[in-house]
Amino acid sequence: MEKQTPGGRPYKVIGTRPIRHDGEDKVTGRAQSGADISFRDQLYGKVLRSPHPHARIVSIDASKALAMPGVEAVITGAELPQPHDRMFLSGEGGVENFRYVNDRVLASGKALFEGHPIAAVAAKDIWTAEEAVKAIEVTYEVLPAVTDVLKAMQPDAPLLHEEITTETLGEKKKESTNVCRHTQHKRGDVDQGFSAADVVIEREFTTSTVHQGYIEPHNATALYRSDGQITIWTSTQAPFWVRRDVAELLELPLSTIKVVPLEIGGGFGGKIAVYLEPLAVLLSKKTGKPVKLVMNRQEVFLATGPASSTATRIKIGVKKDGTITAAAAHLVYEAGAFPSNWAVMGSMCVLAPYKMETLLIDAFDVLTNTPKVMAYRAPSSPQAIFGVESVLDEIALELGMDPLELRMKNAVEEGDRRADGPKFPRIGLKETIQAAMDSEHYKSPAPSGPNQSRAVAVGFWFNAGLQSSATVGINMDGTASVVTGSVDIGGSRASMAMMAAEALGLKAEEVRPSVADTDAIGHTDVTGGSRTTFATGMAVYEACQDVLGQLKKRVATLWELPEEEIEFDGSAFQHADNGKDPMTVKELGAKLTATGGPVMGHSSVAPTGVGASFGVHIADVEVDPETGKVTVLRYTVVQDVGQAIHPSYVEGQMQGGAVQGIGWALNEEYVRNDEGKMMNPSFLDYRVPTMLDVPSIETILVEVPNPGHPYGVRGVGETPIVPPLGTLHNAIARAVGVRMRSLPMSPPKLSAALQAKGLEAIAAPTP
Amino acid sequence: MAVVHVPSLLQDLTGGVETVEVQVSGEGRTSVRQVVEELDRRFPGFAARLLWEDDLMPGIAVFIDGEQNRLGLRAKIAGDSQIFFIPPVVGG
Repeated sequence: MEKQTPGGRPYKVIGTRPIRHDGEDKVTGRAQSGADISFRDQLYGKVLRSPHPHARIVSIDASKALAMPGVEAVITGAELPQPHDRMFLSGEGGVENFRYVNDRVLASGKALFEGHPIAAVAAKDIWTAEEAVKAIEVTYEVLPAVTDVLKAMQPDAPLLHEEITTETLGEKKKESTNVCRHTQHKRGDVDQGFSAADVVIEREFTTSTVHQGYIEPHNATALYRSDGQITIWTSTQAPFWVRRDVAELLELPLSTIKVVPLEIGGGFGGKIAVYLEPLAVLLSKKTGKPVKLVMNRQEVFLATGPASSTATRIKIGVKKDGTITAAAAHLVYEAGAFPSNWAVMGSMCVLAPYKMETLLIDAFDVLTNTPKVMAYRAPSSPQAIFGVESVLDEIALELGMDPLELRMKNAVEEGDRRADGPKFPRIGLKETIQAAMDSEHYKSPAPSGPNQSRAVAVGFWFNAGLQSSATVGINMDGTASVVTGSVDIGGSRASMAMMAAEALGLKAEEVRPSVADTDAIGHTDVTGGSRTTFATGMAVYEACQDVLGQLKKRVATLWELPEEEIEFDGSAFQHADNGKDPMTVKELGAKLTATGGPVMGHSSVAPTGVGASFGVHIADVEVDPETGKVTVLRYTVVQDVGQAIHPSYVEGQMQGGAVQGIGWALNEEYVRNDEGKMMNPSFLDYRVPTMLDVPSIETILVEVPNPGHPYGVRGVGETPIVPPLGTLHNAIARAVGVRMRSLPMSPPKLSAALQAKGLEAIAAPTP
Repeated sequence: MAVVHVPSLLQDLTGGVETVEVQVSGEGRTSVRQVVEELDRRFPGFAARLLWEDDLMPGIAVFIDGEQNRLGLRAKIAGDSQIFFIPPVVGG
């Protein structure tokens, strides 16, 4: 039953592995990216950025820059309309205030992080623009900066925003502080829960700031026409949100702005916010010419939103049989220079995989003189769950239990309450843990050489729904086109085409999928939150049902029979008794003109029924005790993926997420000096994993269909980044007897810890 | 009776009580707004902490029986509904 369409027939297209529709453009480089956009009279923009993490802007003198030949415009924060309070849904699981978006895009009054935009220039070429930026004279009053979250919480820490006080639910404290938000979840008497435990372990953890590490830098080209109509070409996960943000910031009607999303070279949550787009529009307005801005890698690191550094404390109590009686989590998340909701998200994820009668979660979002934190694949979940999975590993060792048995004993299932309250619908954590237990990897002997070991960890992400639109058109030869507003990051064109093909009884290659600009499709929210295949796929499915309803009328006309007597069986229209051959959608194409003209189906949805996703990762590692280098010997990702539409792209998401998590665990970090300046803003020094750093990641797809979607889809893209942090931490601990509890576990840090422990202890690890 | 799960940061208003039962006047006729008004009558200050202008506080969504309901205060509840006020989820 689980592998069937809503009509009860076996899938024909879903679950197969056709060649992706956009594959050739991608591998030949024909796909058009932001850097490819060019106009005859185009100008080039460059942003002047603050060299100081915290400074008052005393004055800006752009006269020398403006006097340079080839320089056509300079803008500063004074050019933006006055900031105003207006809340909006952002890509971070909460709301953001446009007042602070305004200030983030172009500083007003203070520079709040290294790289904060101070001014922007438009010139005839990029070299002139770069020279002009250097000619702008800014006088700063340098202020003390704070980049560490725990230091930023102290009463004597430098304040970023005098007006910000701690906001709890509906209450604001009176004192100015960098702690911008406190969130809490509580269930039962947690002290009583810990009293009932036989084993209680409490540990502290830290993680570093990490970047999404997408290869393509941010870019934006804008043309502000003399009639007030604006077009923006950009690399974004959320073209409709770019339109909204630019309209809001510049106080323009949405109808004056068209956003054309270009092929995106990675986003992972980092290409949701606007950075360059409003500047390009303002510069184009001033010059009357198209203006193009492209960041370099240093700008990407310094001035776009990474993921939070964190300081967490996790306490878990269990009975001798492994049953969790209580858990407490204290989470502190870096917000960056403007208020954020990252700790809020962490608080909702941290204990989600496990059931327990009592719990207490306190979470704090803390302002720091660092770029405003933005979404990164399952935002906030990896840092929170890392600590929980490490403590559970210690508990398993203490109890002498298999670590997967311990997790299975406490795993949530349908009907159990999430730590933040609502009950889970149908989920597949238990099936996933069982699949991990049954895997060839887990059943094979663990590596037993010196400084080798195996460990596991669990991960979770909610997945999102939001809003999507789609149109489906039947061509005159019976093939189809699918148009959506969801930027294709992970192969969603293929998934949309396959779902449409399944619904219409066509082959995947008979459906042409495309991504439209904001003028050509209904509102569609971000490609993010692992929602595209679920929600936009739902819109495609519904648009296909619209098409099928219209086609049924055409068949009724052709057969001169009542519409009610005709059925579509997934392959063709049928009539039980008329003796006519079934008629496929393909065959109907040629008959559209004669029966009433073109057929287009439309749908806009805001679906409920989102299915959460869980994963279990298994890692075998070897540690070089002299250098601290960790070699991942074998790695397996097991995940509940709902119904996999295109298994190859599901596997790709699982592998990609795991590799990013491995980088987070082992190497990636913003290294800052005493002044708070980043010391490694390049891919030479910010170490993301390469092909040489990871083994071939094995995948096991556990298919527990989501009942909230006609094809059982649940999002898959974010969950796989969550478990690697705990998995590798636990594997290293079991290999060499050192629990780092601080990420990244890079060679310098790990070798120092090993030396501190002493080589004797390494020979006989006691993790 | 519908059950409201009181956010822990509002439990200072309910004397530490985690869940509150609310009478539902008719199937599909009682709104979240009416529930909040009822809670405010019983626990003064409840509405002020949960509402902003004519809506839920920014960053707070209503979840009814496990699903976020975008109608917010206008959403209808059933006699056995479980109601939560928690942040919405987006993602990266």
